[in-house]
Amino acid sequence: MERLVKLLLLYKMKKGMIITLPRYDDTTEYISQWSDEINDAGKKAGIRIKPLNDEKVNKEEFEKVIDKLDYKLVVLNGHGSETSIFGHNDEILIDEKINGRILTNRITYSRSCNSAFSLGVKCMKNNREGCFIGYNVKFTFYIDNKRSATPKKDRTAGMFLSPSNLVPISIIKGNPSYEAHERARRQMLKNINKILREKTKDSFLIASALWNNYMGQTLLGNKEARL
Amino acid sequence: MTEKEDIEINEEIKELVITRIEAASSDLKLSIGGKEGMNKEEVIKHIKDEDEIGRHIIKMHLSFLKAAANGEVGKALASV
Repeated sequence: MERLVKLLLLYKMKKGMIITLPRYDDTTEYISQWSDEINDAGKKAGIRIKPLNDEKVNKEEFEKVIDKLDYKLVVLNGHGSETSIFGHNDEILIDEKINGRILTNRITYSRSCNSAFSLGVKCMKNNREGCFIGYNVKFTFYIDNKRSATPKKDRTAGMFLSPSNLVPISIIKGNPSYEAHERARRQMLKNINKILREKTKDSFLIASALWNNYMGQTLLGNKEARL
Repeated sequence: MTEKEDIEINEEIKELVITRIEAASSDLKLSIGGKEGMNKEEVIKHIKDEDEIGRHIIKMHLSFLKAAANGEVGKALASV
């Protein structure tokens, strides 16, 4: 019976990615622009991609898309709390008590604060095939203000956002969730090493924030989950 | 150190963190959670006020300092 359920789940979920790209403040502008790396990896791998941009990052649209397309990989960019992930203008996109179950059996990467604390745990309850990779701390990064008009040229922000992109990119490449989780964390360590060796006056601040994300990134659910 | 793990914050600790932030470049903006990017002065204000953001920043600094002091950072860096 268990094998049958597993087979049915595998049959049902479609190999594709839904990615949210809200842009209504510095933080969301940065993480959405840096998500181009994820989209490029998806295109290169030939998977189906459904981006939700700006105002479209709302609960109704998200539920509609996930219901219709049923893609297995969900990448969520945006602000968050222990129990919710927010969409455009901080409106609730997913809440553990309202619609968190739609993430069960999917592979979710949540680049938002604290969502691995409770929301991630709740939506991985009764989960078999999926996983939730998120943070049990506030996801933190530094921006070089001189580059704020061109986020993708911001090397400082890239030290944070590029490693975190490795979670979905590694999943897209067919790796299991534990490998994706570890690849991203290893790159954070490499960046800590790099910035400490540079010995600039910002090195300590950047390294401590990278350490925060490194320590706080959490994998819940099936560690062998694959797209 | 997760958000749930609490620490005792005193004036000495706050000053230590503020000193490190003051020494950094003014071009850096810190992005945390649902907050707009914060400049150095705004970050220091959060620390002085010891609000949620300020406590997070203090914890983040202390966590790294402790991990560096007890060899955890060195060990992790040596593994990559």
